[in-house]
Amino acid sequence: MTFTMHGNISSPYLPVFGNKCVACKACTLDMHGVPRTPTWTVLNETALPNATTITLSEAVDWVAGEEIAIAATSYNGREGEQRTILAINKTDPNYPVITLDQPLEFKHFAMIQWYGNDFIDMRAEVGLLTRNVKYQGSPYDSPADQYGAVFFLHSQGDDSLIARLDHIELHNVGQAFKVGRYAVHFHMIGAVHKSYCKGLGTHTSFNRAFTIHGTHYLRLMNNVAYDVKGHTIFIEDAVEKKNYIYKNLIMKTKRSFSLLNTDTSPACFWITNPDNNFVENHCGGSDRYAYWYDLQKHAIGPHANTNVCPENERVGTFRDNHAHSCGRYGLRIFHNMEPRKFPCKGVTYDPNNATDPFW
Amino acid sequence: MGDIDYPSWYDGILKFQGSSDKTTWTDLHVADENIHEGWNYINFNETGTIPKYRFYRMYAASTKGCLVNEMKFTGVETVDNSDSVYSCNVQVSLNKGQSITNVVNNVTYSSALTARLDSINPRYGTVTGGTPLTFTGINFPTDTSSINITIDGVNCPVSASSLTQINCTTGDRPGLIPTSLEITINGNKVATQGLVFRYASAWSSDTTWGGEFAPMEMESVFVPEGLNLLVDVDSTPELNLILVEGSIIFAPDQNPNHQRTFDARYIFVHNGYMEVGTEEFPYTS
Repeated sequence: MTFTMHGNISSPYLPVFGNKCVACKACTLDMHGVPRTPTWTVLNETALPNATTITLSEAVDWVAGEEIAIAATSYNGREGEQRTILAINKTDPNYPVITLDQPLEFKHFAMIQWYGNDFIDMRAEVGLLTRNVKYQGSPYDSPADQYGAVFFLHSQGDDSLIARLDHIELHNVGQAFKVGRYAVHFHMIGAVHKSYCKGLGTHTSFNRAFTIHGTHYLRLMNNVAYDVKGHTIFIEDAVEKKNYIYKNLIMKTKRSFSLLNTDTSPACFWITNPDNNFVENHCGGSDRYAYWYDLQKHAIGPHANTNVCPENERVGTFRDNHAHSCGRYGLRIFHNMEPRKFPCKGVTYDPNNATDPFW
Repeated sequence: MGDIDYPSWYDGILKFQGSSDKTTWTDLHVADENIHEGWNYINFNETGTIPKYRFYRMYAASTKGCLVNEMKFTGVETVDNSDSVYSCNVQVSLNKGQSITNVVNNVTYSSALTARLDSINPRYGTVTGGTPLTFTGINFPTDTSSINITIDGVNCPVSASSLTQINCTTGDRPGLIPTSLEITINGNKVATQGLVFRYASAWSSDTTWGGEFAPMEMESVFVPEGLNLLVDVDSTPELNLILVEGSIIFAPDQNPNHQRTFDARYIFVHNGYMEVGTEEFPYTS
């Protein structure tokens, strides 16, 4: 099933929701493609330039004709490569060998480096991009205009809408030069306990992959995003909390000069409020950063509020996340991260008490 | 989970336990430092020890560390009891808490007497009726005259039935009516488990468009509340706005390799429902 959205920057706009979009207001949106296991894995052996085969490290249900992306492993995150599976040999089901439609241009490293009992897993990730349900901007004009299709999900109030996006493919999505027109945009909803994005394969987005704006408790799990302009998973106003971001693979995050200032130095994960949970994610290639805790002094945007102090709020989970091939840093904490019990209160101390931690 | 300010209150303390008698409890899962506010997942399938208990609880020995909002079980339900009959003592009281009388005869629940619906095939059909439906379940009667099936208030005459299957053919449903299903056997309701059959207006059918032809290029479509629009065509022209206040359902083809396309400028789901497969039935073609 292929949904193709048409329109361009001058098409009439639905108020709030824009154009070339699936708009969802107080809706239930169920889109479930066939589940794929896994949506991404890692190489078992290093693939050299001009190689036409790659060996994976676990059993996959991928088949010939499907599209994959292989992460960069050098310092240049743009060496991620997209290929079509010409054939897949599952003679040894645990180490499938994929024949690619054309030879690789770059080296993709795959080794586990041991230091005593510690190790660093440096195997290049391979993500599956194809799904049987596809949502795309019209291929005729979207790439030329950098103006793709979007999901815009908005109605005000906790659990006022349910969007379950599950194993669908997004291609030619996001609308460059427009703030708010992101590939998948959860916009000012509140808590969304019942919504999730699972196993999506996003490739070629002109404006982010996932935006969590004024939205809490969203689950983003097992998604693959490749070739995305701007911060790829974007937590917008610094009030968003308790979102669960698990086992996503982000590759080739590119800088965008058609978005916010901060998108000229993009991150796979742009985190403005620390009270969110990041577990087992991989960032395999970014023009600048992988995980950027860009903690704001106060909430910004429509939620601007001096009574919210993200830079002093509690830090949620950050565990087992990987990063490589970033232009600058894997993990950046800037400006401040000083968790406090009372985030917005000034630090005072008791000068007569030597055990006061601020003494 | 509810508010978790300090994972250390829960780490090693909050336990998910199972029991068959409410006295001996077995730890099924102990929270670790990864516990977080919002949904937490435990996959028993992965560990290969699928729990089989009558009672479950969240337990913490200390006063802290026990704040759970909602628990959801997915997977296989098991009853750790091979009996198919339960007998219950009946008590009657006039006012709450006053003059309780025991009824002499017990009420017996027997799975052999309980009719249960497990699936409906197909899940959609046309509003003009005439769709043959197969209801699969257990303990259906073979006497077709004792079965009464009502879908959206419209009778579905039963043509055949066996212990595990009922066949009926839908009647026509005029107007816009919210989806409902009721099956009775001799006046007793069958456990339908929330399954529904949707009366749908097929895109491919002339009657959906009032006898006219289906929408053409750059035309808009309005799906009012109570209407289930079933998109069963292989492709559409490039449409303008699809405004959905009822529901729009994209049906997969039988053939998994079949390609369908849908082209539009806007799809606006406003208080409505859009389905491209469900959690239970993913879109398969």
